[in-house]
Amino acid sequence: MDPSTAFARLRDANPVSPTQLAPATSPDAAALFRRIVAAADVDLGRDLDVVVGRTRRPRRRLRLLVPGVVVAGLVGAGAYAAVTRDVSKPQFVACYERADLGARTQVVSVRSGGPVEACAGLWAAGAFGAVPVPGLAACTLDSGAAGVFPTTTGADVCDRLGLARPPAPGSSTTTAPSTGAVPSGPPAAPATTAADENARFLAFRDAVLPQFLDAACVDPSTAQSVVRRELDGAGLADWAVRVGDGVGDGFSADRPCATLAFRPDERAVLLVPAPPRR
Amino acid sequence: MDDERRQREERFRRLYVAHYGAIDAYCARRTDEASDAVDAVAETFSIAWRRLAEVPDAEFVLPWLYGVARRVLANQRRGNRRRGELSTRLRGQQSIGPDVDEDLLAQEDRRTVLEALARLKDSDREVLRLAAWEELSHREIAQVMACSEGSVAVRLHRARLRLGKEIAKGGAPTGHERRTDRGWRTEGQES
Repeated sequence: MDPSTAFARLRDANPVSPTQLAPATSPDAAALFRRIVAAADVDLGRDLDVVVGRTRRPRRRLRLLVPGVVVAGLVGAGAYAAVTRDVSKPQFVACYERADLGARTQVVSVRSGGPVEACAGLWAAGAFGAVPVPGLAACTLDSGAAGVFPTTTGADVCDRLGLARPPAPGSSTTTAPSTGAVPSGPPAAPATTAADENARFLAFRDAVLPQFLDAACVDPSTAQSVVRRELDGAGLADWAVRVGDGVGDGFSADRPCATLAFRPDERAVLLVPAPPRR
Repeated sequence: MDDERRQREERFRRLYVAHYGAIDAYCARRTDEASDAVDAVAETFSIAWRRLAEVPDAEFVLPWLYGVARRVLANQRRGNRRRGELSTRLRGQQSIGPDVDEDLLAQEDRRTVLEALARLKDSDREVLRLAAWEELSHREIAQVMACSEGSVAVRLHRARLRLGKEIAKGGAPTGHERRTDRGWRTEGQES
């Protein structure tokens, strides 16, 4: 057969006519747009607060939280601090790649909706590969933090993993609106997994940061006691609080205030000298 | 919402509105199941959103999106391989079924063409579909398939010849193919 004719017949056999394309204004298309843009809140490398799990940071990397950076980076810190202690609204959730406590995890902030929605956004953003968002269920980890697992059996996965179900019915799967009812209070039990440890660290960080953000200057002595108290409260009693540690020239008249640097790999929080905030 | 975020979202919105239909059609033409097409569209635009800084301007946006969708579908097919799906063939059959007004001869012709297309190797199929169904220029096809324009011209010419030969066979098997409930399937052919 003549190639031109064959090509013309192929064109006629187009399963979806170029003149009948689905509009971007259809309900499905509009919903997809909203979902994608909303996923920006957990977009890796942009708005994601922390991606931890088994991802290892460079050993020597030091995250200095000087006041200006903190203020610029944490929008709405005041409101954030106000809800930090609300146990009905978890601040962070560990998203598991598989229904297995040893699976790879990523910890994300719960900015709106609940933990299931936060993890669904992470899945939709491709954090676990180019796969559809699976059914998800939230459980309460031993630490008290929220963990969300892919599952086809709803909250039954919590029983199978030996975890507590979230307290509020209807908040634990993607098929029902989540109210974020998994508690996020200070963990009580020792850390048992990397995700638990991460959740503890995040809880600590979010408890301690507002206390530094709200003050123009925190002297080293006060800083040490505050950090120690919050570490203990978050179940991180074995973490150290170190002063200076070779960062800068030490506390001085020009740099009398303590800011924080976290070294999770060394299980330590550093008090770093800084000038007062204006 | 800060300015940067607003500008980013606005750029993505324009891209999305302009090209959603084309990407939806592209994925629908190449998948068996509507849900697969929906997933592929979602993944394609999610990637575009995450990599918005890499999206080219103006005329090259759509070929860039086609290129992403092509890779997304390839990943999807690998995941579905065990289920033995055969995209083009079934898609063609599905598109015929509901169209009750279409002349029976035209339906049969479409089936013959799609079955002939399905017997071609993947690269032939894709260059033909991009030219005939997405109506892309050689330059645009080259961007989608990550090759030169000259290569596209040669591939397209040869693919058209091979398609003509396959259509001339009238849908008959060529020896190393077998009939399945979804049409002719080449032994060992990747779905």
